Amino acid sequence: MLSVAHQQPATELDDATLRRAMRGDGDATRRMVELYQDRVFALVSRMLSGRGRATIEDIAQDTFLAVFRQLAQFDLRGSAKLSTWILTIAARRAIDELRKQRPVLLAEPDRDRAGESRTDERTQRRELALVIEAALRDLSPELRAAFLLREYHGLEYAAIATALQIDLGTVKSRLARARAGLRERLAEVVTP
Amino acid sequence: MNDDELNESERTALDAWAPLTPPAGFADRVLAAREAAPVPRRSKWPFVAAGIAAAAAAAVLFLALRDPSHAASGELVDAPARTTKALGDRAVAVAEPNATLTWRIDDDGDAVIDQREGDVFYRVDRGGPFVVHTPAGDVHVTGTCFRIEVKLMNKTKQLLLSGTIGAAVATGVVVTVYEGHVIADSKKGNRAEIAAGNRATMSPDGRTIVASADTPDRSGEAMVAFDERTATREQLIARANVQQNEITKLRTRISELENTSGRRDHHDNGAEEGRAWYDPSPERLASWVGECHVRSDEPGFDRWQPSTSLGKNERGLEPNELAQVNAALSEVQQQWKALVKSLYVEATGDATGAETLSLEAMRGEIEEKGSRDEHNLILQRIAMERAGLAQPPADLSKASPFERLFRAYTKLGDQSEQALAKRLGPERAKAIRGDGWGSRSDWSGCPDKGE
Repeated sequence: MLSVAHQQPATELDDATLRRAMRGDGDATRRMVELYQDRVFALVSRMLSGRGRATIEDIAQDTFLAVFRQLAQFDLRGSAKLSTWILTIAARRAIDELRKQRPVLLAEPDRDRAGESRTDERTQRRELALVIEAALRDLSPELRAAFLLREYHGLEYAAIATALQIDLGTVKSRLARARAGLRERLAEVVTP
Repeated sequence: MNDDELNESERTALDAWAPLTPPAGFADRVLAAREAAPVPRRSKWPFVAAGIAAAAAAAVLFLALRDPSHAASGELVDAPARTTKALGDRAVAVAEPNATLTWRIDDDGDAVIDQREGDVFYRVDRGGPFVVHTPAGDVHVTGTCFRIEVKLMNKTKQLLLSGTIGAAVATGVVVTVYEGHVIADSKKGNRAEIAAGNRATMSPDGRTIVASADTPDRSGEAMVAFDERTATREQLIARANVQQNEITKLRTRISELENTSGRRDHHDNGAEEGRAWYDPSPERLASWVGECHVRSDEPGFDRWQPSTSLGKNERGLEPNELAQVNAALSEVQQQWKALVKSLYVEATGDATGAETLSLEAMRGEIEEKGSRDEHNLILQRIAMERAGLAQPPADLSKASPFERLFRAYTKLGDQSEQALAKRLGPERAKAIRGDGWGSRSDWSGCPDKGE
């Protein structure tokens, strides 16, 4: 039986382009930004939820400028993916930003109203988003980064531990606590 | 996979939280920002150690020698006396006797310190992440003055306070903050923010952090503490004065130690009495073996160009000597360029790049091929060879491109003097080299123990 091969969009920069980017080639550098910008924005915007778009764009840009500065250090022969390395830099930048500013209070989901509006799928998704935001709001910057890197970007525990300079066991135990907290909150709004 | 991983429906729920997407033209904006602030290629070898900074004047160098490359690493094992170390260009550490620490600062200034033993005072400028790993947990810093003491604890006051009575003798950590604040993050996940004027103890098992407000007076080390965001000009001046006094005291103390021991520390940028900077005595070379310390000078061939005039004539050239100096240094530079090119092609297979890349860029690419451990191993070998404890390899053909490059680099100073000697005679060549060529480097860093 013949299978139909679907061409998947590339998730990592190919080696040749990466080498060119490491030498400062403009086209290769642009390709790198275009390939990873969605993931950087996803991480930074969730890390800095409530900070405002301008701040998020600044941190995302700052991330790429740091990537350019440090790109020569990226180990082509190492096991780490370029995306993991870039997300690590983005996470650290976002953590720095969180430490600089006072936490921004997010709106608590209005549970009564949420219960009334579950027939509206869009409203329910918004409610879910608020619940998740609220659950992550209470986490420390490092733990928030750990959760996002794991659950939204699929990083391995060891990579997260290295990225955030946290002991591997600590990453696992703290993520377990974070998941438990999230489950409790989700249970209040998700229809069984 | 752990049992507590999210299930499918929970993962689906996570998708409800949509992230922001980049605005149109974001890549253009990033590239434009990059053009506005050009990215410097690394101009230093990756393991340029804190040894570059002189211990005796580290506190001053910390402020004065701000190199465009922040990268640095180094190690201090069982400090024999109070020792000041510049940790890259944004921090200085004053280690008390017997302290042991290693540090790694990346090009972006992010710092990771590993303090395994002893008592160390840190002064850190604001910047990116600065983390001190200790046996009981981590200390995260933004910009501050603080002290970390790693100590054996057994029913000490701190542990009694923490309720850990009866704990076996183990390594606990006391963090004292003089200015700003730090976050203590114990290895068991407890976290405490410690503000100026406070101290905290992380118990050896990492389960407990006990904070107290009774910062002991440490012979004038206490800093003026206040919130920088609301500080008055007078407060800032007062703090600057306190810090300057602290630096002056540290310098005085180190000078006293040097005088007492009858020698100048080798990290001092000055040369030994009666010797040129690039020509350490056999005793000094022997003392450098333990730190795998290597020193070299060269005329700065990455960017050197023949001179058309004597300019300030700091080397005291006669007008008729200028052409000879230009010819000699051009000759060595050409040889160096040819070597770097050939090693670059060997290391990367990129013959095209060898024709277009700068000398500095090719050097950077070659060094990337070697691990830090390899770099340190080469330093160790050269330090031993220079001290007469090992023979240089008779055949370097099997050595890595990086090793051959580095060995050649450390000989450029002598090679330049010899090229000049062929034209002007050895005495005049030595006189022109003087205390050393303009580009001077100190490296240190040994392979990890057990290798």
